[in-house]
Amino acid sequence: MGDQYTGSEKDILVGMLDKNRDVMVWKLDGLTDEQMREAALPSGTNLLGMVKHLAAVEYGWFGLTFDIEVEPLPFDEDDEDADLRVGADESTEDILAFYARARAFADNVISELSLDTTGKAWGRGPERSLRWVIAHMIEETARHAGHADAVRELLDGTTGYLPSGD
Amino acid sequence: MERRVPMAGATEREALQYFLDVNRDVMVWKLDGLTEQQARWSPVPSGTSLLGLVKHLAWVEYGWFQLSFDRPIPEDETTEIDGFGFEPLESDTIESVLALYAEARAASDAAVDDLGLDAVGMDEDGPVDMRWIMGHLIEETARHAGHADIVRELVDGTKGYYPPDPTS
Repeated sequence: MGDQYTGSEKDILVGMLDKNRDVMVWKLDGLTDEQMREAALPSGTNLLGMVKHLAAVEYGWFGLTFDIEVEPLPFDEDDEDADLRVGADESTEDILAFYARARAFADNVISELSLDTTGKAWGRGPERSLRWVIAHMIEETARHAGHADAVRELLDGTTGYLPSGD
Repeated sequence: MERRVPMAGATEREALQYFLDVNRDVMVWKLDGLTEQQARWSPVPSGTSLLGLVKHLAWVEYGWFQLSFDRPIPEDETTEIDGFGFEPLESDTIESVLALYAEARAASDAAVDDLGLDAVGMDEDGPVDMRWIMGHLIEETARHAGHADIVRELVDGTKGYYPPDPTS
């Protein structure tokens, strides 16, 4: 397993979040750009769109909630699926770089703040603690990893739990 | 399903319990309204079905929360089967699997109540903290909820992230 089994509350949460982020990236590994963008289901679910969405959501939860400046995000008040769609003008490298920046941003916030620090969810919602935000990001990333498992298997038959081979 | 957790001021246990419970509830919800046949159907070569996913998770809960601490688990021939409960038996029904899952999750919660988050158990790779186990069950239940999302959408088009909260 890539994370640690023992340690402080924060160590364990961060390790688990990182592991699931790594799974998301791994689920795209070896695919063509076309496959990464292919809608595997009627709802249009595709792997690259999921990564874009998760990057935007990390910025939203860790940045907007704790009043920290973020780069422009792909949200649209009038289109709730905007962050899930990848346009022809957005390269795969751009999306993966976006996710890498989002992770690094979130990790920095986590290292700077205590788990009890609170903020308004996304800058406008109910109060949430950093502890709650990290736990939610773990469940959301893992949930999308589950979608990615299914989409990847339907695309080319590849299955697998963790990049380390467990 | 009570969800009155003080989200901002949630303690470590409250936060972990909240996310674990909501994901367990999602798994139950993804079976809701299906026929026995639909619950056993799989869209993927690996054979993953909604019934299999819930049964698997029941045994995963027992494995981590009980076996890591030398606590007893129910006697059941399916614990010997490869895949740790993914393949439902002929005799399994939605009702029997949901009952197993309800018992497993109650036993998990009792283990945390009894031993606390600082308790250290053992698995084949070495020591493992109870707080890691709770977090791991959140990630694993959520990951399987992701599988369940896809399978359910393909079974009958039903989609949804969280079950409706009766308290809201």
